[in-house]
Amino acid sequence: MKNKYIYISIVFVLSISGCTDLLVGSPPPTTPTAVFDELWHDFDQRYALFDVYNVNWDSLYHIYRPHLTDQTEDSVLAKTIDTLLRNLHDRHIGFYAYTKYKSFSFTYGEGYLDSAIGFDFVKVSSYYLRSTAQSMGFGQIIYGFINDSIGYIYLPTFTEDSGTYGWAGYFGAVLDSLQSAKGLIVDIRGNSGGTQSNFISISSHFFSKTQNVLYNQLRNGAGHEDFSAAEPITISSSGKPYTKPIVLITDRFTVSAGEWFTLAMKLLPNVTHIGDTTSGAFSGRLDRELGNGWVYSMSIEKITNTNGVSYEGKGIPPEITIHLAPHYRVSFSKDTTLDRAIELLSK
Amino acid sequence: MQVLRLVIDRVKVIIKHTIHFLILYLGSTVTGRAQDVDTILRHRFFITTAFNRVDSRDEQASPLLYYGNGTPLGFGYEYRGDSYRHTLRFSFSVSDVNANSLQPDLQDDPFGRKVFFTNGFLTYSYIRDCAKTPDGTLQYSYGLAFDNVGFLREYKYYGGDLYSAGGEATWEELNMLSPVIRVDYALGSSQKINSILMLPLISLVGRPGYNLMNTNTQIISGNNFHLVLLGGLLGWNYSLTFEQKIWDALVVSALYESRYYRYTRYGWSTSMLIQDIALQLSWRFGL
Repeated sequence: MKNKYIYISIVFVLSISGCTDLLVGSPPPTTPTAVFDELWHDFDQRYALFDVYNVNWDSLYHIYRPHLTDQTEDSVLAKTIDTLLRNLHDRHIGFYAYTKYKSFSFTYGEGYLDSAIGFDFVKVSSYYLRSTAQSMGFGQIIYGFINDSIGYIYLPTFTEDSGTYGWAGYFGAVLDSLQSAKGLIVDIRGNSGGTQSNFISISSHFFSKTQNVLYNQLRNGAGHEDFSAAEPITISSSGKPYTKPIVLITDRFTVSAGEWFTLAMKLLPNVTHIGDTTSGAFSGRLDRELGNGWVYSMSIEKITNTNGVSYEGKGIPPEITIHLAPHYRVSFSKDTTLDRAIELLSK
Repeated sequence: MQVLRLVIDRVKVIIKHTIHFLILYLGSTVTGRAQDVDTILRHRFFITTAFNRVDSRDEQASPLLYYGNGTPLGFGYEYRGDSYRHTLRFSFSVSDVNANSLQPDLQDDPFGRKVFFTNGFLTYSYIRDCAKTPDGTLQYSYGLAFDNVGFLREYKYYGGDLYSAGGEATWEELNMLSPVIRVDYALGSSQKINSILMLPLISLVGRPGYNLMNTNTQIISGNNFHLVLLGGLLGWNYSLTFEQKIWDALVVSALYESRYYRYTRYGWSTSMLIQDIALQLSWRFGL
């Protein structure tokens, strides 16, 4: 009995150890057709914006899938997937592939931004802020005085990493240091987006009461029209709101959480929004990987303002538009949009 | 077909061994009553250090099968009554894992991706002695356990910075009510072996929503938790322990522990197999 008990225990243990594949599953197929099918299927199951970009996803499968066989080279597979995804002009889509010899990084949507990059922070610092230029929050908040009565804050991003974690917590101190100004320019041109928590933290310094600022609907089912009920994103006041006049500057490269911030700030009566229309990529972004290790991202929610209006794919138009055509070149000493903001606050 | 036949054969072997194992657990009708040092030194504190291997795939997050190693730390308390025992155990582990499909491992990944698994276990069990062989060497017990598992997977696809964006996280919270069967075998006056098997009967399973981006409110809301009956959550919690008494008050144990869980929702399965080799130090005392 003793030996039998020990024997059976050992067999049980070895059975578990030897059957990992059976219990947890074997590695996924990595043939080109399997990888393509997996990506197509995943978008079909999760992507939120087919209607926004007016895409018939089923028909795209029948267009691109026949080009592939299990003998297709990885570089051709990567190009085929890239071509498929280009039908969705969505800045939140990314596709990152690699072969034995080369890495590929594809981004989408920027070709549809009919604008030049009209912002150069070095110029703003040298010619507008001069010796008042400072930074706080691990270099994520740049600020200073345009003149005695106008303060300036530049927020290049709402994202963070281990080197900048917690930077948004310094925003209150920045505002305190600019309290002597009669008005404030908040410049989020080129803002690359970031986390919801940083967006909420920064916004809380401008709101005097708790307020719903936008709504999100998460795709929650296999059908392209399956979405959760609209849920509000709420900003609570930091308790010390900035209520003096503000000019908010955006451009075509202000994206994602930068656009959430724009939607929120436009609700405030003391804010004037100038510059160019924002990028039009609001959705939360989901990053995923394929069976062969390639990585991609997609939009999985719909965002609207408090009136239910979606600017996805279009961008938020400013009250005063200063559009920089694609051929526009930044002059060394003049920032047209910033000059207009100064003019507005000097009235 | 050959592969399928091989799989079926392996399943048959596993089922066969499992049935034999369960028969051994449940087969005895002999009764007896423990009256040894266990019932004098009724209280036992223990601390466990282990080396583990975690194999897991969460299809909701990734098609890739990940595996890794961790060094869990655990501790617990047991009260031994005349014919029953209450046991409370907690253990925690962080594993830095690799994807099986990315060979040789994620260190060569051009994106510098990094994946972490974090898991914690909290188990309370009440076990009653039910049968003992005439020579007193074999003791069977049964009972009920409240077995809790928290499992977090953090996938960082563009560099290993935990604070940066670009990745996703999935989780499961398993709160299981499990029947327990235990067998103790006395090898000698100072050595024992025991096996404990728990199988989830009724479970409250927490998982992310359909898409993984959850606001904080959605993560903690009831929408993410589901009552699952027998079979909905497949799995086990099994341990095989060898105990060596150093003194009456001090026991050193070597353990093999295995946990397996598989749960499917929205057509996506999540599964984990965690195997520990552990060393346990127990201090026993009476009051």
